Amino acid sequence: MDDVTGLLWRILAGPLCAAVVIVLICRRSPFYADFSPVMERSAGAVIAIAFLLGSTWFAWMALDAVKTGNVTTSPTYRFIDVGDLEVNVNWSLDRLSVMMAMIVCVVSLCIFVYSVGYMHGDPGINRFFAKLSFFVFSMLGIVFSGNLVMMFVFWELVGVSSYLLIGYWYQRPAAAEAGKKAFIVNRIGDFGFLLGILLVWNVTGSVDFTDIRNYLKAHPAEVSGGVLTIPALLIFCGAVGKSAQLPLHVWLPDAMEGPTPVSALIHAATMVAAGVYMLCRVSFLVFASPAAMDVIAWIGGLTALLSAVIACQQNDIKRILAYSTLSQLGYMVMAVGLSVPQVNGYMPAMFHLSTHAFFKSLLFLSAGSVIIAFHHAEQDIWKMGGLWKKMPITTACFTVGLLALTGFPGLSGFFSKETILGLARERNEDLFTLATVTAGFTSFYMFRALFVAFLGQPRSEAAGKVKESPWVVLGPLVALAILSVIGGYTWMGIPGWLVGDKGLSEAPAGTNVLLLAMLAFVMGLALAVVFYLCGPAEDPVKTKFPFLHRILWNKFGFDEFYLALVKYVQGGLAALCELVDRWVIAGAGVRGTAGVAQTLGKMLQLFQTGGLQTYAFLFAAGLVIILYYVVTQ
Amino acid sequence: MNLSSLKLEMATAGLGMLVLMLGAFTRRDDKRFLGAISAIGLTAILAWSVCCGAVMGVGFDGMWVNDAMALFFKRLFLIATILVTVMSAGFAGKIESGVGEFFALILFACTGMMLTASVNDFVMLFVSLETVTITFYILTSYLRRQVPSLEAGVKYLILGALSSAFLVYGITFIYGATGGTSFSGLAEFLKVNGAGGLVLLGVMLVLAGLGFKVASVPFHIWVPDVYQGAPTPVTAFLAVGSKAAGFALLLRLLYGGLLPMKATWVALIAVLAALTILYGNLAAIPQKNIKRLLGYSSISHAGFLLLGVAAATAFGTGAALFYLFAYVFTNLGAFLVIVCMANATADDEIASYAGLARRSPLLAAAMTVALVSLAGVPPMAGFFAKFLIFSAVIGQQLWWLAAVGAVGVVASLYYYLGVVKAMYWQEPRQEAAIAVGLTMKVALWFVMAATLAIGVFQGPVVEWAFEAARELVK
Repeated sequence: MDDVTGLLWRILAGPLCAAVVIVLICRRSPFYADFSPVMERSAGAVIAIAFLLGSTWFAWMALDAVKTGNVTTSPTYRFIDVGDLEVNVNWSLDRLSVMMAMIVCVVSLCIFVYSVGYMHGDPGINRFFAKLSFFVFSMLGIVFSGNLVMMFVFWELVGVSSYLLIGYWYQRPAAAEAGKKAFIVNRIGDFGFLLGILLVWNVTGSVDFTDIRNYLKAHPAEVSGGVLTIPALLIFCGAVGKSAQLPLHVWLPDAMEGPTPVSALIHAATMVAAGVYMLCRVSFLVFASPAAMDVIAWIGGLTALLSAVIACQQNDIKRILAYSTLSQLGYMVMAVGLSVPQVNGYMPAMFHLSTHAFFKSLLFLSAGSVIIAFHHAEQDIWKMGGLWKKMPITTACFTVGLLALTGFPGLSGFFSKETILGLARERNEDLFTLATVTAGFTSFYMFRALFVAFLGQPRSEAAGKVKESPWVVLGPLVALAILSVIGGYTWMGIPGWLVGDKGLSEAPAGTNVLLLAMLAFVMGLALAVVFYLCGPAEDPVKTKFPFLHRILWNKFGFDEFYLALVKYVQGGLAALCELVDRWVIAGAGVRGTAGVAQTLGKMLQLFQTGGLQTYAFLFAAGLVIILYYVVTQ
Repeated sequence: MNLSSLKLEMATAGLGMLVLMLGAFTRRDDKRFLGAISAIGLTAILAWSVCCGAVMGVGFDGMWVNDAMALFFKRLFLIATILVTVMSAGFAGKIESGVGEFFALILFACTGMMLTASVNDFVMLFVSLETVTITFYILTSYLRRQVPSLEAGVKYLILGALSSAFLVYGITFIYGATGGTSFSGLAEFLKVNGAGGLVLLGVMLVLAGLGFKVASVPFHIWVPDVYQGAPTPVTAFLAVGSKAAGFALLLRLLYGGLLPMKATWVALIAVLAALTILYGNLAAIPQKNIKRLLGYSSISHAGFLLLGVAAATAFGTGAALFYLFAYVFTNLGAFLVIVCMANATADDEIASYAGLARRSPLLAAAMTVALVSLAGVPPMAGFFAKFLIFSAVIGQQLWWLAAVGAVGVVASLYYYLGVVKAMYWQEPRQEAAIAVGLTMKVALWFVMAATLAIGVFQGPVVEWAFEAARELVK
């Protein structure tokens, strides 16, 4: 057994050090006055990328170590030791975590390089890279956490850093609001997560993954009969928040206010994937409760369908991708809920997570490339059009991402989506139908975006003047495009790696699954062709089905509902509290007691006449009172 | 054995003599170096007490006892006196004549305080107490051309004489009843005959005399006037040294002589503690003068210390000892700032502290640390001291007493933070920066660091205080 704890520390230390170093030295300073311009403009990017490269290298070494087998990690030190609660700083090192770490590192690396181009000339670029690095650190922390408490700590760090990143352009009210919304909505889910951790600790007496797993194995009788349903569902709440599932999905589309690399990083490969990863990490817990699994599967399925439907009538290119992310996350969560309850049963979900990380960040970055071409001024697809002539590489990359997302045969998304559909077919017919319908919608809204934004004729003056982006932007696109194509093949080995040598009852997607999925794809495509390929100036759905358009445009009114909830319920409570605070607490309580104290203090001053005779008299009188008190007692 | 157990006191008194002699041969402008000699000499004695100068045991026919508690107090007095001499060196510019004598008197007062720590007999009690008090009569009125100082001196002299009279009067009753002056003899007598009649009268009179020293209600009435009028280093010394000496004597008497009537004094001290806390904290609220404010604050701290005594356990006594230790650094920190401020602004009004943060960030920070610690806010020393005191009181299930203490703490936050608010959030009357000398800077940094360090790493001090308390309470 090789102890590779040090390796894990090194992986984690990379981005953290980068963040610290950037904050400390990348500024104007008398110590290196001559270099100040360099320090202010480009040092941050260089440092962040260099440290991330190091982490990626160490992650690769960890992957290698796990492959050869026989690795172990040791707890570094005791973190909390209160009563029965014992939390060590320890790490998870297995196929699941190293693969996730590898994905995070590789995708982040592409996004970091891309950011150099995307954020070019932004005055806060060092701050940006410091935050990005800190975010990657938090994410890697989640990946390697060996117990629920550590995971929760990093979970919250991800929440904080996502808040910082989404609100990066804090001068814009919309960005600041979106950051706040993401943070608060996530906190709601995290509250459930925390309760879940407490309950799990209550039931099993430990928060350590290995210990909990062993306990469940050793005491099957005590954890049967739904004891774990509530804890599992509460822990799932955390995933609902982070992975933006119904009904806490509302933050993700708004989070598109952040810079596009942030959208790609947070909403493709890392933060939202953290929820699914966490479910896979605690799969042994989830698998112990069939009821919880049902709930998880249905929430995932409904999120997938609902978001796909909403995406059909969005006009902002990033928002379309945001809803598409929601929809794909729904697939993954559904896959967790439908898993075969056995070791590594989470393989389909993780498989889709990996391929999705590649093609979704590709799509976001392509959209970002378009936004660069529009000088960060336009994101409405109805103002674009005809981009393919001027931006062939971006268009090609977007198309590759699109085909992977819609599950076109031969690309990575095809394999992972078929795995999930096959699983659904086997485990739950209703959800299979739902997922297949979702696939149809997926191909509709994605081809809509392609047809409207990239094909046809320019729809605005700006669209006629676009230029292809520089290679620092296109390089990562091409790299991700390649990964999106090959990511799903057996020889890339993602599913095989996940299943490992333990073996999984292979559920090959039957021919009819394949046929139905292809049918859905073709129908979506056909509808999109009918509506959009002819190059309409306005969305035909909007003119022909105004009612449908309005519902979808309003995203089924979730935001309005929550706003009303906050306004009337929370606002009402707050008003009540304000009344109590003003009149009872501040008025009677604070001012009252303060007044009494002041008055008493002034009265006591009356004793202090300054006259010596008075003092001597008071002294003697005090003595007499004491004597009287003692003698009569 | 007998004389060797006195060698720390003799060394301190000798140092005082030396300073007195040197003072006679020093030019007027160089007298501040006497402060340096005093501080260095005291530091040497402190070091000596730690390494080899402490001879433990009972001597002089049981009149004198050197135990862990005696040593605790002696070191405490030495530390307090070192800081006071440093402070006096910064203050020396305001003393018209007799700077050498000023330092010598401080050292003599320190000798007296160290004597109180080992007292085990009523005669010793009176002698050591008067050594302290008479020195303070002179020190209080040292600025003899200034009316406030003179007034403070006269008030302190007459009220102090009154309390000494009560004390001696009480001792005569005790001598009349028991036929001796030793604490142990009194304890024997009380065990056999119970507390009553003349001996009870005598004990109460003696306790009243000690109550005057520690500034407990109803014998506190002199405190605000004297604290305000006395030269600032003397006020500081009164607040920490004289008060601690009073507590040393009180603890010795309560556990050496009055243990058989424990129930009586626990009830009495509990009531007095509650009244003292309420009086000190409430009366401090409307104050406008910082020294007067700290006078009332010192009354309230006497109340908190009495809480620890009223708990009447080894834990409570240990808590009180820790409280005293924390209080020395905290309170002297505040007075160091007052000395610096008085050099710059010539008055002690709280209004003069407005905007201090802009004029001297160091002074404002040191004052804030001191006040926040006095108020008992974590992580300062004062917080942990109050924490221990409250634990002791609650451990004895004296809920009402803990509640009164809590009320006092809340009220104290108001007036302490009022000063902080003035320093940081009010416009200064004038913008001129305040210069602080190097010695004072070092002292300020040291006191701030100590206040924080005792609050964060309480372990060693707690161990030390509790060891002393366990030996006393048994």
